[in-house]
Amino acid sequence: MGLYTAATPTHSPLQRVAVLPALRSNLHFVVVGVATVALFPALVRLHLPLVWPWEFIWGFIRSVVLQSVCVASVLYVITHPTELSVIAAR
Amino acid sequence: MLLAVGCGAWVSVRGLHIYTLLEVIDALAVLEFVERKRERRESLLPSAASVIPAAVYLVFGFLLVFTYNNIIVSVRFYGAYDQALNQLDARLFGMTVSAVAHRAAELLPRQVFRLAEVIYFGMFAQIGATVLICGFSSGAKRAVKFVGAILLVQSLALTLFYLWPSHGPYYTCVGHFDRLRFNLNSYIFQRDALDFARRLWMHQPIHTLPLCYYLAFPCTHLAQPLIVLWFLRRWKRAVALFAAYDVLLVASILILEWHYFVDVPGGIAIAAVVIWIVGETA
Repeated sequence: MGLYTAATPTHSPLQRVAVLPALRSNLHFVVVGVATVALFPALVRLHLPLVWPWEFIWGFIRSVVLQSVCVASVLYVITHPTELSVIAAR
Repeated sequence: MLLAVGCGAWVSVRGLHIYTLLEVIDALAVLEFVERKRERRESLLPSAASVIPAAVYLVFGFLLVFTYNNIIVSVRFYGAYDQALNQLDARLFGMTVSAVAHRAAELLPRQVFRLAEVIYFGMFAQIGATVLICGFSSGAKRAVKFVGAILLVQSLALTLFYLWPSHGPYYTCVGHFDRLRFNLNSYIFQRDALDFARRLWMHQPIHTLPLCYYLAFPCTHLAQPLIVLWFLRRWKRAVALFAAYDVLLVASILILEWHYFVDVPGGIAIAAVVIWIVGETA
């Protein structure tokens, strides 16, 4: 009996199956991690500067944030039309 | 009352501009959100924490994507497969994007092209809004997962760009910039992208990494909205609205000559692959 227990695998097939979805759903972290690590050697090798146009980036972010908040709000009101009367009453 | 006075003052100072309208709607939305939190005696911190990680991840991820665009263009000729894609368009669809776009420019008024440009650049608002909706309705983890899916689309597209570099119909279009009938920001971006791609390919010194997007195949401008639809699939009305928008988006992409016809199924294919990767958990 003791010998039989010792020979039983410590992880069930069910546990092994669950690993794949976890790997798939976290694949983006792996990709972004590898890309980040590989970035600096690539830039150095190609003599490219690690200088981004921050003024343009902040302007772009500001514009996208403004539009995104607006779109999300409009979508919220469209998907929850009863909320409009609550907002209007206020 | 105070809010109405504030909005009125803001409109009179800024003038009636699309951004003034956006700012007024945003101000109303933020005030309503804060008011509801106050009524429920809830802190704003958990709401901020559900969105900020994904937003930071998105900005960082896109900086990586733009930087890798520049890196790939430095080592691979950016237009190597453009003629092949243009010929494939002609063979499969019986016409090229440039022919359709220039014919449309002859027939349609300038306002249609301006609207097409607004629709084209409005795609980024879909991504931002989905980050907010996922964060507020399902928490930080789902919002980060959505951004992860967007970045997977980009990484797949960059891999394909490295293998088969293509720039877009405006590269293969003969005399493209001389034939343009309207002044649009898209054409300025296209001219800049071509100029930077040429400089990077010829290894001319640059002082700042340009935030240009050089790849044509596959069309990530369509793949990303498809990921948006997948993540918002529980919000039926939002999906219907975005789906209608995406139909106009495809037309806008083509008449502004950003992508070949074959890039569209390419974009659908990479969206399908990413949905397959993240699908069960998203």
